[in-house]
Amino acid sequence: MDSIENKFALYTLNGGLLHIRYYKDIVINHEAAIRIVADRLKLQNGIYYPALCDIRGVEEVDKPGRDYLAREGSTLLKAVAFIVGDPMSDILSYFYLKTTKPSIPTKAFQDMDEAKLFLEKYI
Amino acid sequence: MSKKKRLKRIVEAIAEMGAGKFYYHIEKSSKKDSIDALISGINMMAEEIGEALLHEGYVNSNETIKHIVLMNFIIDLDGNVKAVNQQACDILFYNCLEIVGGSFDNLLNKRSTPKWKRHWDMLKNKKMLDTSIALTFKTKSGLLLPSACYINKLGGKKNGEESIIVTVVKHSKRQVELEEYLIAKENNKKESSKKNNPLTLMDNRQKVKLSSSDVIKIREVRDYFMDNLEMDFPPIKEIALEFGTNAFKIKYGFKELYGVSVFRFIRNERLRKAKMLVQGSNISFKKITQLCGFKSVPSFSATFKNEFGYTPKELRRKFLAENP
Repeated sequence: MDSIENKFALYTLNGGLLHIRYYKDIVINHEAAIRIVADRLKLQNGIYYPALCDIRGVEEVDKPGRDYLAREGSTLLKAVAFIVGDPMSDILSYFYLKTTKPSIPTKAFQDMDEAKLFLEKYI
Repeated sequence: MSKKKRLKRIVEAIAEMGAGKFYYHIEKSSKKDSIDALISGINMMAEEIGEALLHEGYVNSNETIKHIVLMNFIIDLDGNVKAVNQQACDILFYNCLEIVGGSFDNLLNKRSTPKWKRHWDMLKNKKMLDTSIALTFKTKSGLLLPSACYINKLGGKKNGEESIIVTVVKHSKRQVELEEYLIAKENNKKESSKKNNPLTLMDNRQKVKLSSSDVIKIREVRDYFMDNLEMDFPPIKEIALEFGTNAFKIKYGFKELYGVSVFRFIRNERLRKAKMLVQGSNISFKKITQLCGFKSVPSFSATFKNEFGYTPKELRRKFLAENP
């Protein structure tokens, strides 16, 4: 299995990277966050990966959703590169970085290639 | 909505926060522009501060009174508000006379109306008598108020004399995360009952005061535990020294902030991580034992079963069966 999807995002394993692309107008609450992490773990099958995470479709993450992702969102990940570019995704990634202080290397990028370059050393 | 009006709403919400009310949210437009992004940022900040206030309020409870904000509505079988409490009117910025007699869903944000209507239909058909749903109210000035609403149908003497009562409370994180709350309750019955009743926070017992730098250190220690659950932790004395504080403050602080002892906190977090890995992945139980810092697979299995009522194997099987 090298790809999985749910109503929130499409997950693909490619070239040693885990690609996650959120669909448009996604609202993440606690229940959604659980699903998002569970499906990701299912695809990873116990193996650590660096993740390229395109959050440009996310519209809102409520407090319970943020808290869940802050706790469990980095499980089995080596590093995370967010793809941002519109005002909403910019502020979400910035807020996430500031409030959760993730324990794995996490950075936001407007450019896909730059993001992949950042993650390369973690493959 | 014009830019001027949107900025006005932002200023209103910020003013309310300045007055210590962090439970209001600002409504976004569908423009998804920088102003909407700013609104999201302010809403998220309000949630974090509101949360932090609760914790700080508890830690320094000899100085601060914790308020649980409360709204109550009595609704007739036509869905109109028969009666409302003063505090609800204040929070929603309405005159009581503006609310009574009107339809309850006039007080809700448009997004919440379908949800209310669905529950209303079910309530009228007597399918449910007690329930709770998340609804968002809209104040007179357009601010949003996401709320946990507890809905009860009250029986009257005859048919047609029933009422629906809607109660809104603002509660702390601990009560939302039911599992954690139940676990804490088992071992800290006194502490939990204190937390649930704001009036008993003002008790005469001398409480040790934790400064805000103490609280920061305690949170750092918590983060250290969370990031290293697979480790066999050194004694608290050593950890405290490394973080520039003392063992008493860590032990006391954990009980105050998180409601449980350090030992129990670590145990709960290990089990929480394990539960997520058991349910959400195919990782071997041997690997999970390692990743979560348990001593051996049999002891992990036993602790797991004790906590959740199922062995890891059983829970994984059950989860997969219910979530194909």
